[in-house]
Amino acid sequence: MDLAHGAAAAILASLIAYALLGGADFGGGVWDLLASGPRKSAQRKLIAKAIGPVWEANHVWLIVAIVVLFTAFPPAFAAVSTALHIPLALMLVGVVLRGASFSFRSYGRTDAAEQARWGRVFGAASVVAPIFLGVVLGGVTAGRISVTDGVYAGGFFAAWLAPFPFAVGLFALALFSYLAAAYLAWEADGPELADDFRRRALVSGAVAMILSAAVYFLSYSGAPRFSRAFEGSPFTLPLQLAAAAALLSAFGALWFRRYAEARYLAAAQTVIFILGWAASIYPAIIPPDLLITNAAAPVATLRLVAVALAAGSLVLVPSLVFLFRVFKSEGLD
Amino acid sequence: MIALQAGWIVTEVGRQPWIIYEVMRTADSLTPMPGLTYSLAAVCALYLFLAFVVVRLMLNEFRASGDAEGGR
Repeated sequence: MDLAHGAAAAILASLIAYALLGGADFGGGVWDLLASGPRKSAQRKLIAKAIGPVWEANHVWLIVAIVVLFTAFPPAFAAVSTALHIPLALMLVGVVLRGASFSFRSYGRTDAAEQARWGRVFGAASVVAPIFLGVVLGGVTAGRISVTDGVYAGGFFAAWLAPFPFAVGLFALALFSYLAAAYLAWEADGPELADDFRRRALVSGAVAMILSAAVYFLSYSGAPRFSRAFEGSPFTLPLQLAAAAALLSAFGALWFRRYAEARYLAAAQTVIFILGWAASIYPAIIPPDLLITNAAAPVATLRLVAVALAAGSLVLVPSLVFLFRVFKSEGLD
Repeated sequence: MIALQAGWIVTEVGRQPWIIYEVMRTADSLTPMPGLTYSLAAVCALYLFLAFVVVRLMLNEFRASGDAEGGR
């Protein structure tokens, strides 16, 4: 593996971490918005307790992915940030508003009505952000960001304003909600509260699977490379078998209330989806024109990126492990 | 605070017309895309709104702490 592929792998790894951690964070916001039934406030309390310590740290993965993209693949970053400027900006507005409203709700000395208002902003932003994250990834997958002489000149809308990217957006929303519900069922203190999230996980998981089928059918017209890659390549069958196995065992674990296993299986499903997506656009980084090889920065830069990533992970990984051990280990309070 | 901001303004303005000194001109680095005024305005509005909320919440906090001490 050369340096350019290493940098691309680092971006992929950060995207996976972002989906597993940040994605679940968004999903928590969705369930906060949809809290209902006799244990409504207990649900909200559990969500706030689950994401309170980690919601800021989780977005570090998005930052890593973007920084590595613009350092190691400048033309790809330029093309994406112009072609997908609007959905990227809307996603970031969602990320900013949900962080701000979460803090305003928890720490502001305000009355209950205003806290409820910030709670709704938090929920709405948690819906908007993953949809537009999906639109961005769907826009990349659609392969309409063609670049001539280093410049993308398709305007602000053409690359993403179509059914396929939005189907990917809705799929991302459902998948993240599923992931969050599976994690929350495990973190819940009582069997009733765990059952609330078990039900939510099963429903949102089923919705996510239906939407993934919709994404696949829309890809015939909306992202032909994606459907072609899916039909004609050797990785398709093992990936689909792995996805089906993860799906069945995750649903089985949820059904039999084996929550500790269920959350890992739901996470495994998400990883398989993202790996399948990455394999479908490989060797491109931004299809159709920008490949990992022709969009990479000079070797001197890539070397520095590799050093920075190694040094950064020396700091980042132990701190994150520590953070999660402090707040997410069993037998807390 | 003012010195910090002023220092930053001096470096940014003093570098012009280069965006990367003696490598790339600011004018050459500009995106060909139109309509960026709107996103700039939207981002400014969002952050002004958030700044306004933060100031209000801080004032709340400040007043509440005053009350607590007064009541003691």
